[in-house]
Amino acid sequence: MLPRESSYMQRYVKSFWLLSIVLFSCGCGGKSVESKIAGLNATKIQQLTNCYTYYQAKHGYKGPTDESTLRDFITDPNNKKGFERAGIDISDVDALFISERDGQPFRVKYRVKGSSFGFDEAVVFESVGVDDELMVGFGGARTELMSAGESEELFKAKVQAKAKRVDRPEDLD
Amino acid sequence: MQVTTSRRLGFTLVELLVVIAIIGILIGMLLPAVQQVREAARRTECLNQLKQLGIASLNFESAHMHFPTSGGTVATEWEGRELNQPQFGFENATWTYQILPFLEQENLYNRRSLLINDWSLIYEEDVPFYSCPSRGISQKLSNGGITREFTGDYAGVMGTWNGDYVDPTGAGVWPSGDTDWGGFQWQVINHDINPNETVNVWVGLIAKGGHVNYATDDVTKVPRVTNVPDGNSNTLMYMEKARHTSNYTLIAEEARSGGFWEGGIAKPSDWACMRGFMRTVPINPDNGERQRASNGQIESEAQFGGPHPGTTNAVLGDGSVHAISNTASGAMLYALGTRSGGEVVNVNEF
Repeated sequence: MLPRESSYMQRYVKSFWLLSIVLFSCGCGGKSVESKIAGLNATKIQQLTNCYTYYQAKHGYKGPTDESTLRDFITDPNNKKGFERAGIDISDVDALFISERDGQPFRVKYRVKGSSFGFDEAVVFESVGVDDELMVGFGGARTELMSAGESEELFKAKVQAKAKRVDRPEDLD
Repeated sequence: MQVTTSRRLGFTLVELLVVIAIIGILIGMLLPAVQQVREAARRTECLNQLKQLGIASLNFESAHMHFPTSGGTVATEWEGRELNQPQFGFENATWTYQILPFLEQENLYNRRSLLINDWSLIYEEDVPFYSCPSRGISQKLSNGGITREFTGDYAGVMGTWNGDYVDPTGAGVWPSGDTDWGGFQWQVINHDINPNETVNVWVGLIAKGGHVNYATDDVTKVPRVTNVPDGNSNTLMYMEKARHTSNYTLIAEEARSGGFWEGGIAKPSDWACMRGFMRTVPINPDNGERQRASNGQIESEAQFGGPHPGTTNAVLGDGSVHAISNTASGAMLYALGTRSGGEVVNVNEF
């Protein structure tokens, strides 16, 4: 039989761990900036979409004209810092253009104009997909699974440029 | 025969419960008061920072013979020109960059000479003077975190645009031709540099750089201290920006489309550095109901507003600071925002 002090100590230790687990699960652990960024760049389609919108931001919100333009931008040493911070491996730029889901090259919609007011258009598309579903990458680091028909429709759709800056916030009335 | 002695070694359960209850009551009474004292201290610190911004801007005026400007148009930052010096015959970076030397941030200011094709060397750096202590320093992520920009908490008061102003004989009258969103016309994005622009010019103390101002107040230059007919002590210069509490510390990608956040302290003539008043919600506090739209997205961060209970801090053109009531009327604030509206307004009444 353990001495009484030791038993108390065990109870305290158990309580400490239990409380720690409860507090952590309640959110005291927080979500670091790094983990949030990692979540926004977890897949190749997210990474390529983010590269695309970064290109827009640095070129007057004009989209890249073709793949070679986008590749040159990604491998430009001046842009290295941002890509590294986001965890995008620019040493293997070819891999960025291939989906890890279906192993096929992405289809990229070039010349899409962005906006400093927000950009949520689809620009990167899987070409084959998995189980009849294709992943599509949107501005704002968002991805969505959709059918081949829907994906094709988005790929061909003409994007309306958000040129009007004067918009009043919705829902203010 | 065994003798038992009764010695109380501890407290009874009742005693413990009573003590805990008393402590609980005391905490309940003191905690709100303590928190308010802490918040009051933060508000004072915030006012002090605005005071420093005001003094720095007046020092800037003394050195440059005009107030700092909001910089060029949005396009001037992004058109791919070299950025290591002003490009268009005027300063295209905004006031937050312009007054850095007067805030003892000359080292950061001088980084411009190192810029090649973007402002990241400057706008990624935190400048504590631009952060309200009640919110803390915040950064905005965009492009999946490839871009990170420090976002300040203070914005210039643009007054209005195109010379419209509140009718001085009828407080509450909003500029003609406009409805709710009136008096706050934004520039067209990416428009060409046009020094002779006659629309979308502002009539606040902080004006657009390089634009001859054709406002009806007949002020034809970027305002100087001597060029403010309403009086510097009656014209707002900087004020706290509205921000939803969920956007403290880190403004995530998704806030971009729903909100009005633009990062980067050097960004010219944009939401990052300039704001206006709207009639329905002239001041929008951080926990305000208007911050969240029906679709759940954070919106309405276009206005002024602050984290402090009941007030939003501001600095006027004479460098004086005021905590302005969040219930101040839009028309009055609007009058305080224009440098030459001709209104009789007493800031101390707010």
